[in-house]
Amino acid sequence: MQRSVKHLVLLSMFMSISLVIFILEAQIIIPIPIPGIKLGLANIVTLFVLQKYSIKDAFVVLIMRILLGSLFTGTLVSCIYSFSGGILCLLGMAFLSRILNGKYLWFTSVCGAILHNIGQIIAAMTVMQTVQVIWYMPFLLLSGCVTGLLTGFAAMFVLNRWNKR
Amino acid sequence: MKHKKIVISVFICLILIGIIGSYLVMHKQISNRNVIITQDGKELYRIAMDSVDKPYVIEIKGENGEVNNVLISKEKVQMESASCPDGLCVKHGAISDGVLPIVCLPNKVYIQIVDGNDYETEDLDAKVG
Repeated sequence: MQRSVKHLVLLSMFMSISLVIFILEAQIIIPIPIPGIKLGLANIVTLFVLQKYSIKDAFVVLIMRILLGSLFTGTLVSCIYSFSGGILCLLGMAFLSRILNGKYLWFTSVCGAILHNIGQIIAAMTVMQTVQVIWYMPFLLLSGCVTGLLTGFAAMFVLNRWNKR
Repeated sequence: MKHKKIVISVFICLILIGIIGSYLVMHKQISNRNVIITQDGKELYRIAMDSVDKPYVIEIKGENGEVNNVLISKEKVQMESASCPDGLCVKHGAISDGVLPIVCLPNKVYIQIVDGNDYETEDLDAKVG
């Protein structure tokens, strides 16, 4: 990993892009009465950085985005949810993209989205001290498939454009 | 290329599990259903649904003049009307099982169906407490 100024600036650019996406996304109200369903658009950036640079860089971008994002939009509780979901998601995606050699990015993204939801449910179970939230899992699995597919394809298009540049 | 088949089949499996699971959860039957209406963390009503003969409306008044009208019948519970600006709780429609509660965030009203057999009030209080 090169620690040049250019690299640093690029990473902070990506961080601010994902932060803006994250904040904008928080304003979108999705007409499904299930907590935790969202588009996960900010994951495009995480996926892109993971693919283009390294897991370390993606981790930094992710953590900074969650910290600043919770500061701007949410509360401490949403920060806990985002952390557990985001870290599980990143680990899973890093593992998968290594196995698949960076191909099938859409699948990596789908698994990431599902892992994100699993992480959030685990966090919700710990925070609320109840196992009832596990009933949301099938819905979140389904939503993870759909939104993960979308963000995965978005990340693929971005990567293609970037490489053609 | 051998990855392609695995990837696609796993993806299809995930979607199928999601659909089947959602279907099962949505049609989960509970016996002895109890409706619990909570406002601002305080339990206001607990009604055994089987004992409801004729549908009726419960009016819940908030501190600042908010009103929520809850329609309760033998089969289902729904938010009939509410004074909240977004009206999400009314749009949610009727619930008849313990999966998804009706939540009215602006008026802090929470409607939930629980299994009267295995659900204790003290338990919930301890969890929330």
